[in-house]
Amino acid sequence: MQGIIRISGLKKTYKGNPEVVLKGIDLEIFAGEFFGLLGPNAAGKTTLISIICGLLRYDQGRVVVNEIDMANHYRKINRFIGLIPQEIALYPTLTVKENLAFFGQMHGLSGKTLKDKIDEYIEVVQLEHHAGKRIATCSGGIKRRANLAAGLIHDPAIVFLDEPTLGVDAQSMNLIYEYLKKLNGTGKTIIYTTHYMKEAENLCNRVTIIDDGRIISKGTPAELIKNNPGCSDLGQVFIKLTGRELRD
Amino acid sequence: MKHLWAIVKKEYIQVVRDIPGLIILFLMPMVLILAVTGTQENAFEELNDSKAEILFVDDDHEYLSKTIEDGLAKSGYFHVVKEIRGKTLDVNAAQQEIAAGNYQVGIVINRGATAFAREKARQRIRKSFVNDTLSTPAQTQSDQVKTVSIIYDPATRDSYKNAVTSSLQRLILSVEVKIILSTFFDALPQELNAQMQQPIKSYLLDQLKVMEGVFTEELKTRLGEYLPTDFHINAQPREIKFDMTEDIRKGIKFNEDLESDKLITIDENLAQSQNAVIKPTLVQNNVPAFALFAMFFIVIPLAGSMLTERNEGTYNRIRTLPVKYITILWGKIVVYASICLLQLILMIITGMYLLPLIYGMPPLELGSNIFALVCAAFSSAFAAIGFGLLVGTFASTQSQAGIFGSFMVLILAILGGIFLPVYMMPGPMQAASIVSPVRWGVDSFLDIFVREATIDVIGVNLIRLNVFFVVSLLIALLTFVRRK
Repeated sequence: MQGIIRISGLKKTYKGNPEVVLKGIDLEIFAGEFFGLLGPNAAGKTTLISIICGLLRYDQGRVVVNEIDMANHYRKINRFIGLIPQEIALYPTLTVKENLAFFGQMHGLSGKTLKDKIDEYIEVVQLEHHAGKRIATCSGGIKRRANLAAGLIHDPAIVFLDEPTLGVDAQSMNLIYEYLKKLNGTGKTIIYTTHYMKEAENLCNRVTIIDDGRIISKGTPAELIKNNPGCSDLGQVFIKLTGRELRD
Repeated sequence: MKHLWAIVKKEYIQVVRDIPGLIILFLMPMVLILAVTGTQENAFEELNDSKAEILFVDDDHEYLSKTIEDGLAKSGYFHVVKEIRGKTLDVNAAQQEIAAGNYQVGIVINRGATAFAREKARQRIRKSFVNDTLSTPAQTQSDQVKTVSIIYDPATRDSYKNAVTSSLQRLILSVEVKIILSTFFDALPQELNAQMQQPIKSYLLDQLKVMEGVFTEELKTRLGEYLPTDFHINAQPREIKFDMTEDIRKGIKFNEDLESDKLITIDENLAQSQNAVIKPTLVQNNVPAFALFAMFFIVIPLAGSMLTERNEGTYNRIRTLPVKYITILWGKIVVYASICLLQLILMIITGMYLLPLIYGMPPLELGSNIFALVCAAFSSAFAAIGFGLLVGTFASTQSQAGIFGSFMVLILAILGGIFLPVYMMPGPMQAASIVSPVRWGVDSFLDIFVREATIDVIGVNLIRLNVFFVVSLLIALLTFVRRK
């Protein structure tokens, strides 16, 4: 079986910066996986996700997403990927509902389908009482949930989540976990980055730890714990592999 | 199209919910035009009400000095000062006052000036009409008399000096003509004089309007039957030759009644096309100027909208959408261009109703070329949007866009002649002003509002405005692609 995302020999440098950000990444993610992409700050996680989503060009290697070669046809993947970035990627002067409507329309939804999808996702993230509120006036938790809904409204086959629980309370966090598990259960592929190792351990079928532009370990959370003697959880594995030195 | 509509709707909601932004976009230009036009109007009124004081020293006490004094006083622009602190001015006192900076200009009519002018006129008549080209009058003491002197403060502006000198020259010219005519009639035999006066006067008045000299060969042909056989017109009095074409263009008309005290009337004749019926007023000039100024301030919300998207995460989400970036930009262009057009409409309404209501000014007239007006409006709006796209593309932060955008609009407006007409700028600045899109827009509207220009007349400026927009849009798109 071939992966829905196949990456080989991927290298990337930014213009004006001689440092190589990705130093030959080889990675395969399979359809229906809940895949955790872990790494300390500046490890290259966001660059890797940006390349897979078609936001960045790469220098060397090959990236294939859903059988589409990203070197030439990156625009073709837009219809079946959903990006939930770390920032609140919503319009602050628009209401929750208006934001969902806008992104739904951008993905080609209209009329009753659009309305049903908006209602569905407002219910999923439990924002019924906040649907008419402008994003600028919402709390951090509501913004995060709305941000999640906006990235999912078009039912993408592959969902990229970049630290979706950053700064939310335990209740909202729990809601997000529950929904993501349910979503993964419907066959969606989820690529998840987080700094919370417990979160990755609980949610992900498989994780990859990258550091300094290279993959330093990969496998299921249980495999990683097992392969690193003296570690009882993924957090300890992470520290063992990436060190205690502070990163920028 | 559905994508475009969704983007337009989103942009529209964002704009209408930004109340401070709307105030800046719509209320500020209105306040600006009311304030600036009101200030300019008051300044003009003040200028008209306060006559320039001019010192006048009369050492002649004759026809020439009386006529010049009356002419200056009746021009409406000068207050003639002949006495200071109860003492009649003499040349020394006038020089001291001007040197002290109390006055800027003084005019001295020297002793014997009228007598000298009459003598000169007699010499000319004799030379022109009597066949005595052989006899050259001897140089007399009176040839050395300086009839009129002008004293200037060294700090006086050249423009003011020129205005005074020019007024004086015209007054002197008219006096000179009158002296020559009266000397001419005095020289004729008495019975011929009475018979000829009316036709000659009538003819001369007619000729004054069209010919370069008072006396021509044609005069001989027309009046030949009245002239004694020993009269020969063999020379034109070149000394009193003046350029009537130039004078008429400047709006000077000689009074038809030479006996009247009012020798010169000043009437403004403007270089307008024959079908132009609109009078250029402060309103006609200010409305397009400040409309363009306001339209280019669209840079702040437009660049702000682009930067908000880019810096707050929505940009990345937008880039994963199955929509081309040009569609995203067109959504913005439609909404912000509509705002620019609304600004223009508001400014036009201000010019048509508010300025006349508040200041009693003549209302703005749009002219008859509505098609040209619509084209100029759209082209200017697109150029303003193009400028906003450029700033939004290259600025990194909101404050950068706000400060840089505002300063650039101000610079473009200054170069565009919004605060000082381009023709009054120094040469290098006039040359630099040609690159200002604000100038292209203002020139187009002025051509329509003041000169009744058609689309072909403003075509070059419209092309410039639209090319600027297209180039800006392409730069924004290419930069988006390059940022990948």
